[in-house]
Amino acid sequence: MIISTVGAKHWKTRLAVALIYLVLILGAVTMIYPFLLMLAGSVKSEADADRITPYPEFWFNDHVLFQKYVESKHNATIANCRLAWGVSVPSWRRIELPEPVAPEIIADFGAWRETDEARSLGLLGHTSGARLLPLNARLWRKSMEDKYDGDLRAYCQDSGTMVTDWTGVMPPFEIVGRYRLRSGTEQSRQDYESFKAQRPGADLFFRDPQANFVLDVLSAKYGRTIGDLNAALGTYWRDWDEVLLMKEDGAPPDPLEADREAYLRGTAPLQYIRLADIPASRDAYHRYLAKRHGSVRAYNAMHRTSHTDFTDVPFVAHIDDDPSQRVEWEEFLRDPAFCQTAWISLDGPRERFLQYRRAVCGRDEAAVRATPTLGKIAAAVDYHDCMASSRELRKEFTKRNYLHVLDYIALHGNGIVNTLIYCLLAILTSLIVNPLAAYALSRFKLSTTYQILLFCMATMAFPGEVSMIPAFILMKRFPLWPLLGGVAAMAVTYFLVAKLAPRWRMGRIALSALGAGVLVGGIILPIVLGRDGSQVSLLNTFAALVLPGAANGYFIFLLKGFFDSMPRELYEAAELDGAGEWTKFWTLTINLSKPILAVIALGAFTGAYSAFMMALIIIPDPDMWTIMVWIFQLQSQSHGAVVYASIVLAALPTFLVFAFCQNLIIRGIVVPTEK
Amino acid sequence: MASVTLTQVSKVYTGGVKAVTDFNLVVNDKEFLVLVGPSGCGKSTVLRMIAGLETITDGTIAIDDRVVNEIPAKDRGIAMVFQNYALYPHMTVRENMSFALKLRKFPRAEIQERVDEVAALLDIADLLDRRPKQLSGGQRQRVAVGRAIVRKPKVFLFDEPLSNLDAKMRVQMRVEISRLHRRLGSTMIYVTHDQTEAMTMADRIVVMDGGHVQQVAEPMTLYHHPANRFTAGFIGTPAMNFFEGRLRRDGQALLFDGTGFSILLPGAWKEKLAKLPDGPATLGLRPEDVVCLDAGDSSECHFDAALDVVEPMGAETCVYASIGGTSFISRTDGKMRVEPDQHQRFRLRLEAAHCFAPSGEALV
Repeated sequence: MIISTVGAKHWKTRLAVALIYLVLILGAVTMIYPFLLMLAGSVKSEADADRITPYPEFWFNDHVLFQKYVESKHNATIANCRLAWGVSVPSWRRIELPEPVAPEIIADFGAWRETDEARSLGLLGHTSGARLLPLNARLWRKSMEDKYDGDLRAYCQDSGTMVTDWTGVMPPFEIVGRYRLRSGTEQSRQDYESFKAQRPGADLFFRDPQANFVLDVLSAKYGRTIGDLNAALGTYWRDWDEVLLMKEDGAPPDPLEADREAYLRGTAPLQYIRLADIPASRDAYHRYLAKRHGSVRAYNAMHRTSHTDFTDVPFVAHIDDDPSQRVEWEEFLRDPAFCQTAWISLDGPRERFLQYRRAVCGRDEAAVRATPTLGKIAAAVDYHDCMASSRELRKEFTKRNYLHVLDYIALHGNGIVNTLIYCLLAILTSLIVNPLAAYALSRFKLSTTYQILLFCMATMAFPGEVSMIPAFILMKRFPLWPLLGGVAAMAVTYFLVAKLAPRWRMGRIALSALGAGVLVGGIILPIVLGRDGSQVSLLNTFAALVLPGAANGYFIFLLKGFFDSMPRELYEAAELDGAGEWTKFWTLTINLSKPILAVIALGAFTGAYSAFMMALIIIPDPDMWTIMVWIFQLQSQSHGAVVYASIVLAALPTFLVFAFCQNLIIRGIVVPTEK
Repeated sequence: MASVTLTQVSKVYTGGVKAVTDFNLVVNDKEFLVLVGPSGCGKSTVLRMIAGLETITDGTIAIDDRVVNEIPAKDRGIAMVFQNYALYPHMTVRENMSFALKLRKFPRAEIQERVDEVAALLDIADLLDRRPKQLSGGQRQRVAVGRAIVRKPKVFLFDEPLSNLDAKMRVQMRVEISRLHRRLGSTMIYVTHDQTEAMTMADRIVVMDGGHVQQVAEPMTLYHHPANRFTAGFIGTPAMNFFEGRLRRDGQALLFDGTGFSILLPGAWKEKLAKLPDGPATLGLRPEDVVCLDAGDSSECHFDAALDVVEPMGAETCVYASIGGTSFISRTDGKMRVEPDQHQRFRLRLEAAHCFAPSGEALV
């Protein structure tokens, strides 16, 4: 306590204390606020990435949660949401809460989307995100890992993909445009189909042709608002929902008939088109084939069939009836000379849903007719789903990025092992090398001690990056054999001289040993072995990671100061007790320096754990990468939020170490004095 | 046991500082020898050279007729107790005491036996499992002594072992070390700057100054017959009074003219002072030999002096006075009533006085 207790109650003293607290609190806030921003940022996605709050907003705000849900459900693709909802969506952040629809419709829709029919029409959401890993993508990866029992090569073979590790395994693409496209092989399609069947209907979204017609065809042609359309055509529609792609039976013609026909014939997804299966249409189809191919033989040759006559060729009412006829069917549909407009009908999700309401739910015709557009239903149902499972969603969104990172790190388990080994080796070497050097400097008063210390300090003056390239070159052409030979020569000379000339002083013996070492290691061996023979590449070894940082100028300086503070008498007493230099070093010095050694170990740990640039440069082989390098790899292919999550996770070990070793650190800073 | 012989020993530190010059000394077997002197006189250096902690620049040191100049400290058969105890902080008392024996590969049973024996001797048996931090200063010093005893060395060296203790503990430990010496009957060399310790404990005292031996003698000889002015002034509390003056021969009479007084010296001194011509000389008297005369006392008075400070100490009273610019101290009976700031008559007991030549040599 610096402030004396006497006079502590004076208002000036109190003011000073209050000020000190204020400054401390301010400091704490400036420390904690950015940390909170990072924590909050780590659970975000594109939808809420630019909401800068110190806590995740979706935890408390349903609207933000809904935006995130919509983003995730539509695979982070605005176009998907736009076609599913039939409205133009500028960005996830601008998504408004949808208009409610009757609960009865929501219930019907909820039932319908669980049917096989709906599953085959819908696309699975939560499968891919803007460089995030949503739930279904995670589950798919897991299911594939389970199915192939971790055998990545078998998976690659079956799915026809080329991935280097499980983090590359993603669900196959499924696109419903004009054609229905899926990536992958037959096998992976089947797998995906069964995977899709297990997922709840709430994960499905539907591409609505009505929305496609309004947003992509009419808006592009007549203008963005309904007013533009009315002005162009002289009509009186109140909003886009009245501009139906499929008019109700018996409705009067309007100026859009040509646009409708063009859309149905040329643009609409083939998947959603159905042709009337009546004698006239069949006949037209056969006539069309005859005109196109000339003879049935030509047709047979092309389709590898054996029809005797065109009338034998089966009529295709829906593309799924015979996908091999696609080209013929599509051309027939395009050609108004053969395919009459009256035969073409839309058979998309909305039509199926209406049928379902009529047939299964038993709704009367008036209720079915009053069903809003599919987009309106989808939006309302999305909101309903989101609110119904808001707790789970909040949990899912909170852990999603962390699971992504953990999943990634777990899949690169060698990274953890490498980091562990590296950290242990780094701690070990710096606990051996630095105390030895410092002990020598502290105990033996060399005439050059000051210069050596100055050199140690000088190494601190340069940033580590400066020595990176030289260290790389040294590690790549490490003169291992000359070094070992030099050390061996030194040892042999030392013992020989000490034996043969016992009267020589210590310094003279050491000097001659050093000379012999330099002679052998620096001159003789490099000449004898040649450049290639004497150099060894240490790249891709732990030695390359550990050696450049083994001796640390700062640590040596710190340790020397600590050793200097130990009472001289202690060493003298030990000497009289008969202790050799090693006993004095090991039993005495090391035992009494535990706090400072803990600080050194801590420094070595943080240095090794956080080493990135050096670890990346010196280790080109991914098998030897440390966690930091892997995290860097992850960051280059991930969303910012995932990067935040990875940083938070990477900081955890250091944080834990510091939290538990606080006492040691403080004891190391305040050098203890032995009384 | 052992004797230690130092012949023509010198120590010059790197940088040219001469710590010890031509030091000759024979420490007899079983002797308790105390090296005493002011700070920087070289007494610790001598001890450390005997211990083997300092190299010897010149001369030889022999323990039991074996020259040890080149023998490492651990093989000299000596043990040392340090001023700051130098106990190993991370070891228990038992480990501290057995460390040297362990390093010498003694059997475990013997180590145990020896430690227990010494612990009992020093009354520290119940402290064996504690660490130095948990001990008081006196206990630590006892452990340090115990650590030395356990090794059964030929010579014990003590380097100001009591300086870190408080006054009471110092007196107690002083007695204990003396007792220990009698019991162990081993050669002990003890360095101190405290002349009380030296006087009370030593068989013989070596007074050192400036790297030179000033006098080697038994305590009482040193007190009553100092060889020179340094020894005379260093030994004894309060220190000896020195009166500067001139020696004058007036016919048969031998006179000393001090500043402000002149006295007739005893006739017996003539012979002893024969070498000293008329001229500067110093008269030395211990405080108890400067007698402060009571008002009614009719014995011979040598001078009147103004009193400065009076220190009543109970049994005796120290009177600080000055004459002609020379301050002096008189130690008188505690019953005598004297007040400061008054004049008092003093008599010098010349039968116990010393006379020093200008060179410092004691002639009487």
